Order: sequence, then C-alpha cells, then structure tokens
Amino acid sequence: MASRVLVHCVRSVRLLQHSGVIKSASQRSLSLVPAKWTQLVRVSSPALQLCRQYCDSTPLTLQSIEERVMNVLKLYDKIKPETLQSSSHFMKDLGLDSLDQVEIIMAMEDEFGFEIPDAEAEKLLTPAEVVQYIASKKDVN
Amino acid sequence: MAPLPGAELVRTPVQLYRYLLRCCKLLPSPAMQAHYRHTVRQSYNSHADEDDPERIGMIIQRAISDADWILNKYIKKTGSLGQDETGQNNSDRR
Repeated sequence: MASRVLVHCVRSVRLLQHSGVIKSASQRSLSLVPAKWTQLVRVSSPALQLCRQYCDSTPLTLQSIEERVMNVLKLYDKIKPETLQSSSHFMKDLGLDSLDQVEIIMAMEDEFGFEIPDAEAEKLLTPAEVVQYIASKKDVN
Repeated sequence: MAPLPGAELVRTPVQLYRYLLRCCKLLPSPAMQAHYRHTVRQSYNSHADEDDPERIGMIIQRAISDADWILNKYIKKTGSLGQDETGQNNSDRR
C-alpha cells in the first residue's frame, strides 16, 4: 500500500513537471530554502528521473511475445517443457485435450491482458499461431 | 445478477467451459477460483461419456444456471465480487 502511494505521488509529480506547472514553483521555493536543503533535493532528483513509469510497459516485439508465450506454456503443468516447440500442435503433439486448449488460451489472455473471442480462440492450436495472433492484435510486426 | 453476457451464445461443451472459467474469475478469492475451476474440470471428466445431444444441451443450461446461483451466493455474502484478473476493474489504471 505504501509503495502504491509513493508511486502515485512520484507519477503525479512527473506529470506536473512535464506540463511545466511545477517547474517554476519548485525553482522559486528552492531559492527560499537553505543550501543544505537544496543539496538534499538535488540528490533526490536523479532518482525521480530514473524511476520507472509504471503506467506504460515496454514495447512488444515478436521475440518478446514468443518468449512470454513459451514461458506460459512451460509453466502449464500438463506440458513437458522438453517436448515443447513453437510448431507443436497442442492436441496432436502435446497430448492435450480441447479443454486444456481453452485453459491455455485463457492463460494467454491473462498474460497479455486482453480478451480473445471464442471464434478466434478455437483456431489457435500451436504456439506459433498464438504468437502470430497476439502480434496482429497488438500491431507488432 | 443475470448470467454473464454471452451465456445465450453457449452451444458446445467447449464454449461452456470457456464461459464457466470466465465466471470463476469473478469469484472473490484466488482459492475459491481454483476450487471451482477444479470442480468444473471434474464435472467434465465425470460426464465425458454423454452422447445424447439433448441431454448435453440440458446439462449446459443447468451448468449456466448453477454458475449464476453460485455467483449470486457470493455477492450476497461479501457484498462485492473479486476483480477480474485482466485488470478491467483496476482502479490503478488511467
């Protein structure tokens, strides 16, 4: 909870800095406070710059999508990681049934944070197809 | 609470499975979600040999109304449902 509040504060400060609202105000207040204070403030500002923006994620690439898809599949308890390949068919090669396929697609929804409609979900039968589909939905080439 | 949107579109057992898993995600605690996911899967195993389309249709309808009943029960008890894992209700998001 505390970290959430902190992140929230940092984010709003950054937002204000971007829009230039806080810049003039903070400079004025800096000139009023003693030198000791400004040093402290200066020390903390690089930390603000380095702080990760939690509201956006790193851009997706085909490679990163494939990595995440394969990672989800490896963690699925009915798949043996050593038999897994990006071309392997969920039912023919990995010995899963249609319910497992539904579970896998739902796990992909959780991983990538969007919903895959039923009609599309039924057609995704290999890891490669899943990667292709997610890439096309997220506009990644 | 009425059944989730899409309940009337459920025709096949596989569609029903997807629908029920989505219902599970609405339950308040992760333990409860895991429990009902397991229960659903077990019920599929125990009805694996059904071959009468009419009976399968009846089971599908029954499953949808049972899911609705369970969700209603937990809404009354806790006053609210758990957050969807896809983060659609996540207040943190802008």
